[in-house]
Amino acid sequence: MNGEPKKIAFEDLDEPDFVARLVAGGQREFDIMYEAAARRLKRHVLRLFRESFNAKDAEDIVEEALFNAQQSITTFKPGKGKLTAWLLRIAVNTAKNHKKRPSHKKQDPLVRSETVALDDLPDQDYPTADHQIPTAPTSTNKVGRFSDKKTELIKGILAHLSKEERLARVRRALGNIGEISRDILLLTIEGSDKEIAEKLDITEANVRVLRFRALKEFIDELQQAETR
Amino acid sequence: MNEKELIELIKESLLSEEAPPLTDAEAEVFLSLPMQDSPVNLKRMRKRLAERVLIARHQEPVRRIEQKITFGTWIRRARNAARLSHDVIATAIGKDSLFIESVENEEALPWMLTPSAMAGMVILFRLHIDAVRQLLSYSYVADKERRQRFSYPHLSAPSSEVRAGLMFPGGYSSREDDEEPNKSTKSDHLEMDEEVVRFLSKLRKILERRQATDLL
Repeated sequence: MNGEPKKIAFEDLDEPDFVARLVAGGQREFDIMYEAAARRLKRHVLRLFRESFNAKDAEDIVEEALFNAQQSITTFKPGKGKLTAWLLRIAVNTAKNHKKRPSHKKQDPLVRSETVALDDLPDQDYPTADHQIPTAPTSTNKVGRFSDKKTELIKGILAHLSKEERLARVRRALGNIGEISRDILLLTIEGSDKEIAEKLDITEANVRVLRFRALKEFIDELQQAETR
Repeated sequence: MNEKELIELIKESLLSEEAPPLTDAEAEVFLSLPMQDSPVNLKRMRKRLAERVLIARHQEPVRRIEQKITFGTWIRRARNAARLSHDVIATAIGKDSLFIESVENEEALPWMLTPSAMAGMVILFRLHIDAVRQLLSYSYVADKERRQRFSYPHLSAPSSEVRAGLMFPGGYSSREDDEEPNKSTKSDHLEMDEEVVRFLSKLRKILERRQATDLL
């Protein structure tokens, strides 16, 4: 068949029949997945790693991530999770690996003679909208205060841990708090209060209240873990 | 610690280089946020995908073709083995997918392509010029036999024909991949006419110009 692959929404990639054909090695399905995933994953990489990568970097990361997905697609187990989650995990891992590379010497395995002159391909203008991503919350709209004693205690606990231990401890605490609290904190990392409010169908003020409570729960969990 | 610092702490535990991978549950939370997709340069990305996949399969250029198969058959098998579609290959070399199909089916004979288009395919698939010469010879002989069958349908398959050290009793695989083609041997002479020789010469010049020295 010729022509552009059929377009589908990113969310539709999890449709079981599609996944089955993809995992069986469907080339057409891979093309469809590639186009839907490229656009969405780039958005996630830009948001999650906003301090580290620009639009061009994000695109390179997603391109590498989708290559990794292509190489291992037959190992994806449809019953064990969603394809879209698997793809995002690969993209995040790829982005993390990119952060490890020295910025002055990013190795491009594709530095070789071109199959087609790149100026035959239209340049993609990266619109400034890509950079208009929500920033982390500030304390300007305070809902309440965390107890100084508690937060100092947490600082003290974490200060004497190695980085790996600290990451593991924080991650465990995140996993042990309630699901709604955890979700609010994760969503805060990537989205604005407006987007979170839209997703949860609540007001932005309620988002701030929920986040405050979630962080309190998180602090308490960190403290309790220390005493266990 | 204020709210921002606590969020940064959590973010570090998820996204720093040393952090363990996201769980499916965490990934699904991120994915649940309503957002618009980013624009991407899909052509550029597809091109790079094809290059990456094919470099991964052939770190060193393919210097010798072990089976007597036509150029089109080789390309099709290599593309299928890499699990790449016509569209992706076509994008990588600046053509459309019908072009790739016609090359694979040998509706477009290799030496009838522009040397530039052929160079694009050769570079992409990491074919050394020696291997290209072999494949073009096999395509030439297959095409010659096809034309002869057209002209002389009463003649049997070319099993009785022997050409300067070259024997193909079973015929060539072109479209029929279930045929098991003969194996090439080091002593095979490569049959081709002046047109093919000239084409190879032009191809070599283009590869030199594009600095594909590892293919020469």
